[in-house]
Formats: sequence, structure tokens, C-alpha cells
Amino acid sequence: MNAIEIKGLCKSFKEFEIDNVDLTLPGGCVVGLVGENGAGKSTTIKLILNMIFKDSGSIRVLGKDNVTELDSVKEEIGVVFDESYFPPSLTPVKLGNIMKHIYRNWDMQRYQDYLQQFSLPEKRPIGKLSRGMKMKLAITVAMSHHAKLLILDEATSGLDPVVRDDVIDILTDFTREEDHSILISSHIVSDLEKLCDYIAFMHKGKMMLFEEKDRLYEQYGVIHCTEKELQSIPSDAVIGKKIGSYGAEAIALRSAVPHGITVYPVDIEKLFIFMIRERE
Amino acid sequence: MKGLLLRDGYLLRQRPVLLMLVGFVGIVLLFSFITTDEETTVANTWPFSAMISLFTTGFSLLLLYEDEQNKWLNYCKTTPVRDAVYVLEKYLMALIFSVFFGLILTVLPLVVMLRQDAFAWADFWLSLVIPIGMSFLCVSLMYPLTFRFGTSKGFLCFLVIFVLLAVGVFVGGLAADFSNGGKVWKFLTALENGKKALYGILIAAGLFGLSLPISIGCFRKRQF
Repeated sequence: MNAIEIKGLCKSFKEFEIDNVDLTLPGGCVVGLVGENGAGKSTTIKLILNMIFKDSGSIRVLGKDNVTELDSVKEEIGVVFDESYFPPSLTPVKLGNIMKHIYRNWDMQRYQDYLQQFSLPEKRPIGKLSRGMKMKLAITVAMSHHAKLLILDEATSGLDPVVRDDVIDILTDFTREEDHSILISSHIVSDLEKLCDYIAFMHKGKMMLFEEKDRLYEQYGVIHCTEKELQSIPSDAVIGKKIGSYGAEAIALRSAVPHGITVYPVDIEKLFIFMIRERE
Repeated sequence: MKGLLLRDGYLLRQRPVLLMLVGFVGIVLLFSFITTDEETTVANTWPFSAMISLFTTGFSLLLLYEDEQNKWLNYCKTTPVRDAVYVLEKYLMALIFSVFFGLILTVLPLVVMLRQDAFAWADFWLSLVIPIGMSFLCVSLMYPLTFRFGTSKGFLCFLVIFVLLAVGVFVGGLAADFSNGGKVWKFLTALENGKKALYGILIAAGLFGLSLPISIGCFRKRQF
């Protein structure tokens, strides 16, 4: 079963729109939603959670319609936003006392284990925790009620590289169970590269590309060549290019690159940047 | 529900300054009652009732405001907390505030009545139902707007409606005076004099109850 299934999602605002977005998060997989600031990642997540109402299209979460049946699966969803939403005056212990009444499947033992594992001070007010600690706490809460689906919106932004790496490790552990899925949005592509099975590129409210990460590596490569050599490659095989006085750098379909031009492995961040530049 | 109540309970415990403020105002009111030379009747406590009802409204609004500011409200929308339960919990808190502040206010007329050696249950109930009724009315007006538009816009809308109502009552009162006392004006006067206090509290409670499903509907239409 797909953890999330979005078809033809549309939502219009005054100066922005989500335009016909399709996205599938297969069960047991991790999808990274990549896009620049304002690309529509957070809006898409809010649409999935029915915090904003869609204009058209369909969204199914854990097999249920997100408008009429979402309440029935919220027990199985853990959500982490980019900023802290827990009352700053509460301590993690008090927060646990509250959450055990909110989630039927709340596992206090697991919560306490996570607090210890992540070295979170149990009796320090949340307002006095560092940003990294607050994020770990949010993830702890999201994982302490046996959620099957985690939805994280810019959960790693604003964190230092060490904490980001910790967070990625926590999430990797979460995905060890077969039926656990994650949808994570970020503009820090390197984080997603470590974690994700699928990559979805969003740009100006549109889904530019949705592909398995390994297939992206297999299909695309970076080439450094002259402008003339670049012209010998069919234009529809070139995802993006940068031409300077030193020559040309491009990302192209490996299969379309002529012999004699060396193809280097592509990283997702570069692919994303080139793609956006080409569109603009 | 219990989780939300706990959360609000923790929040209020962390704001002792607000409770101290209420205590301070209570002491000032008590002092003014004890030291006044003028004979004070129970019905004359209505300005204090208005003040207490504003406290109730203010405290209820504060809880919602904190939820919005901390993004706790957004978070709640992602949890199994149903919209109706969230709204119901806020109504329950408003009810608790109304009764709590109403009881505080009964201390004042109680002192007056005891000083005058004229304690009467009817007067005591009147002093209790006026603030509670006024609190109910304020909350009934404010909550649907706040749940629909958020605390800032909702409070502004509430103020506009409150002023319009006050102007309406004033104009209506003037018109009634000119026409030698209309039915509405007579009813309001009877309320003030405690002759129809039960009707007043029933109307207020009815509006309070009626505004609950309206607030739930408004909250469901709200986008975050």
C-alpha cells in the first residue's frame, strides 16, 4: 500500500499556485521533497494534512482520503515542522504527560528511551533547549506513538551539520522497519541524498521530476566539454547547462552523451540547480 | 481532551502574574466595597460583573492566542485531536473561568450583605448569575469569530460587534425612554433589578451552547 498518493493536486492562492502535482510515497520508502524556498513544499504538506483545503485532485494517506477519513489514520502519522510548536514553558517530562492523553498508542517507555538516547534533558523547559534539541524532541514525539508515516517539513534547516547528521541517523533507524515511510521536505539536498529512496523536485508549485534516486544516478551524468561538443548532444537529453569562457558544464542523459566525452557522477543538488536554471 | 486540559493547566500555572493581577483587582474591589459610605445594592455590582466578564473573555482569548503563537494549534491539527474536541475544550475552559470569576465576584456582594445584615439567597444568586451570564454572552460572541479568523482578527471583529451592540442597546434604551418604556427596556431593567435573573442566565447559557456548534463549524472552515 502507498503511504501517500497524490493525483492532480491543485490549489490557487493570489500570487502562487500548486499546479497539478502528482506524488506517490510507496510504503516502506523515503521520499525527499526538494525545492527552493517558496517552491510549494510546505503548502503540499499542509494540503496532505488538510490544513489547507485543495481546489481539486485527490490525496490518500495510508489508504484513506485526506479530507473525509484522515482523522482515522492520524494515530499512525507523526509530523515534524521546521519550528518548535511545543509550549516553551513545558519540560519534556510534562510534554510526555500531555502527549500520552493525545495519542492512544503513546509509548511512554519508548519516549523516555528516546529522551535518553538523544541526551535530551528531561526537566529543562523546552524554551531553553537548543534548536537542535528541540528538533530531536519533536522527532522523539513523532516516533513515540508507533507512527507508520513520518512527515517532516524542513526538519533539518537551521541545524548545524553534526545535529543534521544525528537527525538523519534517527530517521534512518526509523525506516529499518518495513512498513515505516517518510516524506521529508528540505532545501538542503545533501541530507536527502543520504536518506531518500525517491526524490521529488518542486519548482514554483509544479512537480518537475519524481524519480527513484538510484535511477537518477544511473540516468544522468555531469559532463565538461566545449560548446560545440555540447551541441552534438540532442537538446532534450540535456537537463541543464552552464556555458562560460572556460567551456561548458552540463547534466545530460548518460545514454545520449557521445563517446569521447567523460561522464562524471551527478549529485542531486547539482541536478536540481541545473534543472531550475534551465527552466528559468 | 484530557491532554488539552493538562496543557492549558500547565500554561496557566506558568502565568502566575495573571492570577496575581486578578487577585489584586479583587482586593481593590473588595476594599472599595468595604470602605464605601454609599449604600450599595447587589444590582449595583454589574459594572464589576462587566469587568469580570472581560477577564473571562481575556483569559479564554489568551489560551487561544498562546496556541496560535506557539504553533500548538497547527500541531494539534496533525494529531488525533478532533476539531470538535479542541473547540469543546476551549469552551470548557471558558466555562471554568466564568464560574471561577463569578464566584470571586460573589465575595463582594456577600460582604456587603453581611455588613448590612441582610443576607438573602436571591441576591446572592443574582450576584453570581450576572457575571456568569455576561461572560457567557461575551464568549458566545467572540469564540465563533476567533475560531474562524484567528485571535487578532477575531478579537477585532468581536470589538466591532460589541460596540455595535452597545450602541444598539443605548439607542434602543433612548427610544424606549421616549416611548415611555418598551418591552425590551422593561425586560433589561427587570434583569438589572434581579426580577428576571433566571431568564437572563438561561438566555446567556442558551447562546453559549448555541455558539459551540457554530464555533466548531467555523474552526473546520479555517485553513492554517
